[in-house]
Amino acid sequence: MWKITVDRDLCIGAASCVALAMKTFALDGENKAILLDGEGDPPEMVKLAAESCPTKAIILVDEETGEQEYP
Amino acid sequence: MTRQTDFLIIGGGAAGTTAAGVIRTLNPNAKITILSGENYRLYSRVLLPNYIRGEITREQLFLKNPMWYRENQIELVGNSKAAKLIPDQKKVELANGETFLYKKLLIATGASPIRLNVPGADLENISYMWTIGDADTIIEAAKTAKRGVIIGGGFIGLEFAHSFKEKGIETVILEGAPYYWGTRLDEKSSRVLRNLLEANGIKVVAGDQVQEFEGRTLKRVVGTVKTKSGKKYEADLVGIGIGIRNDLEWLNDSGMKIDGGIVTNEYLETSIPDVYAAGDCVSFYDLIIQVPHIVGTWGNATTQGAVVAKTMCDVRTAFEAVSAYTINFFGSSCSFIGMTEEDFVDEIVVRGSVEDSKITRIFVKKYNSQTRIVGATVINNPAEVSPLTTAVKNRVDIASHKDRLSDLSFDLKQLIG
Repeated sequence: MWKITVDRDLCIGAASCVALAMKTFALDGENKAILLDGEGDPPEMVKLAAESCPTKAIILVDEETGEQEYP
Repeated sequence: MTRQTDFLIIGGGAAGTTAAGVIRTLNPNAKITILSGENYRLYSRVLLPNYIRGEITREQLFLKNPMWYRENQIELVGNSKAAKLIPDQKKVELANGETFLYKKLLIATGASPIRLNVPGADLENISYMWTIGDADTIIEAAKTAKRGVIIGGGFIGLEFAHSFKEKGIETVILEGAPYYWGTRLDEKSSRVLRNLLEANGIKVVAGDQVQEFEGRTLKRVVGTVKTKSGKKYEADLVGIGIGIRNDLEWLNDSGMKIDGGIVTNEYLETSIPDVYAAGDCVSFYDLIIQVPHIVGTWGNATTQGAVVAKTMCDVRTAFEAVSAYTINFFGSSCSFIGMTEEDFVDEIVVRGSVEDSKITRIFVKKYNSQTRIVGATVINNPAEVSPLTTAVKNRVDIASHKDRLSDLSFDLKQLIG
C-alpha cells in the first residue's frame, strides 16, 4: 500500500497520528512518532492520521508506483 | 439568500475540516459545506511560530490544497461568521445576512485569544499569534524591532519568546501571576522554565500587569508598556498570550446548553437534535476522566472531528482519547497531558528537581477502589510523555507503584507493563 516515513525533525509529538491510528504510530522516548510493526489500521485511517499531522511530518509513498501521495 | 446543504460545518479549522473529509468517505453523495470565519484553506496554527521564524514558507502553512476541496466536493465559504442558530427550522443565519438550512450541523468554531482590554491595546504591532494575518504582522514588525515585550507565561508566550530570540529582539516577559506561568504550573516547574528563559537572555518579570500601552509620538505604533506597579518597558513589538476563550454568544437564543464550552456527551452530541460540536469550543463528557472536559489541542480537534463525523453519518462512535500538547524551545520541552487541574485531583506526585532542570508532576485521583493517573505536566522529560499518556488512557491502577512514582530511578514504563 504505502511506505510510511516520519520526518523526526518535523515531528513535535502532537500525537494526533497516535490517536487516529494507534496500531501504526506510537511515541518514542524523545516524544516523537515512530512506526509500529504490522498493518493494524485500515488504510483510510493511516491516511487520515498522516493528514492530521500539524507539521506534515508523515510521508506516504505509494509502494507500487513510488509516487509520494502525501503531503 | 437562503442556501441548503446536508452537512453544515461551522469552522474551517482542524476539527471542521477533518470532519468534512471523513463525512465524505462515509457519504459519497451528500452536500457538505464549511463556513469559515477566515478566508483561508485549512492551515496549521501549530506551524505559525515556524513561519514567523522563517523556517517554513507561507505556502507550507497550508494543510489542504484547493484540489482537496474540489475533489471531495466540499464547499468552503470564507469570511462567514455565524450570527444565529434557529434549531426549529434547522437554520443558521450569518452576520452578512445569508442563511443556511442544514440536515446535520457541526459547530467547530474553535477558540480565540482573550484580548487585553487596556488603553492603547489597539495600537499597531501588538499581536496575538493566532492567525496567518497575526503572523504576517509579527514578521513585518520584527524586521526593525529591537525591543519586545511578551504579556503572559504559557504556550503562546513561550512561542513568542523563541521567535523574538531568533529575531535578535531584546525581550521582557510580563507575567501577572506571582511566578512565571503561575496559572498552570507549580513554583518549581516554573523556576525550571524561567531559568531556561533567562539563560537565553530573556528577562522575566512576574507579579506585574499591563496598565496601558503608549504609542510613539505622532504614530499609532506601540512604543512603551506601562505596568500597574509603575514600571515602563520600551517595546517595538508586543506579543500577548493570556489564554483563549470561546465565542459562543451567537448561540444565546438557541437553547443550546453551554458551560464554558458547548456541552456534549461522549458522542459529541449537543443538547439540540442533529447539532454536534467538536474541538476547542466543546465541553465534552470525558469517558476516561469521567467529568466534562474542555481541551484546546490540535490532536484533540482532529480526533474529535474524525469521531463526530462518524456519529453524524449514523455510525454512532464515542470519543475517547487523552489530550497531550508539547512545545519545544531552546532545546527543551514542556508537555501537558490529560487533566492538570490541581483542584480536581487527590494528589500530585513530583519527580525531578530544579537542579536537574527536569520536573514531572503526576496528577493522581482515586476512583472507588482504583488509584489512577489523570494527567501530568512534563518538563524536559520527553521519555515520560508516552508512558504517562498510556497510563491515563488505559486507566491503570497505580496503587502498587504510587510510593515509587517520585523516584527518578523508577522507570514509568513499568506502569504500563
